[in-house]
Amino acid sequence: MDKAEAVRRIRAAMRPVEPGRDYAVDFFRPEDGSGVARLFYTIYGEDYPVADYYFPDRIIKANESGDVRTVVARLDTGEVVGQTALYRGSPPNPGLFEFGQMLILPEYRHSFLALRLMLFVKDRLAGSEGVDGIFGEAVCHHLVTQKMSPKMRTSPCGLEIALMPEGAYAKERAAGRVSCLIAARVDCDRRRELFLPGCYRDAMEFVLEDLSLDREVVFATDAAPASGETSMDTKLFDFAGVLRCQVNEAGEDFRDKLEAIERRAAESKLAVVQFFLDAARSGAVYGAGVLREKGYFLGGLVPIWFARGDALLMQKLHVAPEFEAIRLFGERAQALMGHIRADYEQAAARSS
Amino acid sequence: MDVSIEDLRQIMIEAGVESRVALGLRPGEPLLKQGMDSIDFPAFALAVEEHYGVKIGEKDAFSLRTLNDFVAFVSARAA
Repeated sequence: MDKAEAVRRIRAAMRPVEPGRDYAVDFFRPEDGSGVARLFYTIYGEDYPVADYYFPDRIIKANESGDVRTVVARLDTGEVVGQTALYRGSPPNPGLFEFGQMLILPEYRHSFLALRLMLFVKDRLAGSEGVDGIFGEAVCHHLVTQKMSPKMRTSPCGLEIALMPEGAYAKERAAGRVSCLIAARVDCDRRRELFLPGCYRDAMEFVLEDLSLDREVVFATDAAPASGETSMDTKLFDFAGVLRCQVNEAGEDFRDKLEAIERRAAESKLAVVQFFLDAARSGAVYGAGVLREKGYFLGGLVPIWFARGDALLMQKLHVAPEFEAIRLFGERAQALMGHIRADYEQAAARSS
Repeated sequence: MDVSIEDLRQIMIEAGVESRVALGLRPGEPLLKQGMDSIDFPAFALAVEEHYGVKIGEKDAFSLRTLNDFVAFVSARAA
């Protein structure tokens, strides 16, 4: 069955939903698969970028495998009127889940449903079997999503400048590319080494003080590459013009690898290149130094991004950032942007 | 049960409402016109339920528009 047929079946099964009924927030059950698919279709039409969510059997399978942990709001009729989820996405660490996909039928938006879904995730899913940590990427052209962060007990730890194209949020009247605030919490931690560039001591200590991590932190001003070749994966988000590079190990050829990526960025007219460096390895300090020479600046520190360690996020923009348009909720998020903006300005000054 | 405006402000802050907003609220004026939004309001109502052990149904909650309304509601139910 292809997506067109899946959508046809959703449409054929659509029935009006009676507003104002009592609902229960609960873990996903296989019989919710059709209701969840219907919810994605109702909210996004055929435009949701991951086709699997139009297929009830794939939704069931993803929940059975644990790659997706869906929470639903269900009427006594069985109809699904809202959902949210934890899901495995970009992080190489399968224990770190992204929090998102908050979808609520229009008939149930004037209710406590969104908050109840969120609290269910916080109280029942965060820290449960296999869920060592959660993070969210909240858009910064409004504050609504960011306001969930204190209620989820997550802490701001990264700011991805100009990450998303304006067109993705046209309905929300975004003006220019949209930045995203990363906020995270770790429920199942263990002692890890954390190698960080000395020049980021203030920023990193600021992020770490709110994350309650068990870390052996080493701030270094100079570091050698790891012996051998660089171990790195790249993923292009074509629609956003973003290249995300995940560096397990910055080796002796890291500078050459970076040159190739810089050429690719120029040829493909990318807007943003991101590097997530595994900071449990001392080569992360070397990698960050090489990146800084090429105009990259700090993006943040994302805990347990890698199975072995936290990610030091570095980023480079090929578009002009609009810091003034970035809306942030809370003093910590604003202070974090202060650190990141200062590093951006230093990087820009070095490049000019 | 004694329910004070100051107690409610504290509950609000613990529920994640910005302290600047919570401390600046005028008790007789609508919360949703003083900086609270659709995320803050239910969080506050649920926190009041938990703190005082009173049930606030969703329909009831949306009829509680001001801090004074919450004081009166909780005082009556918890008496």
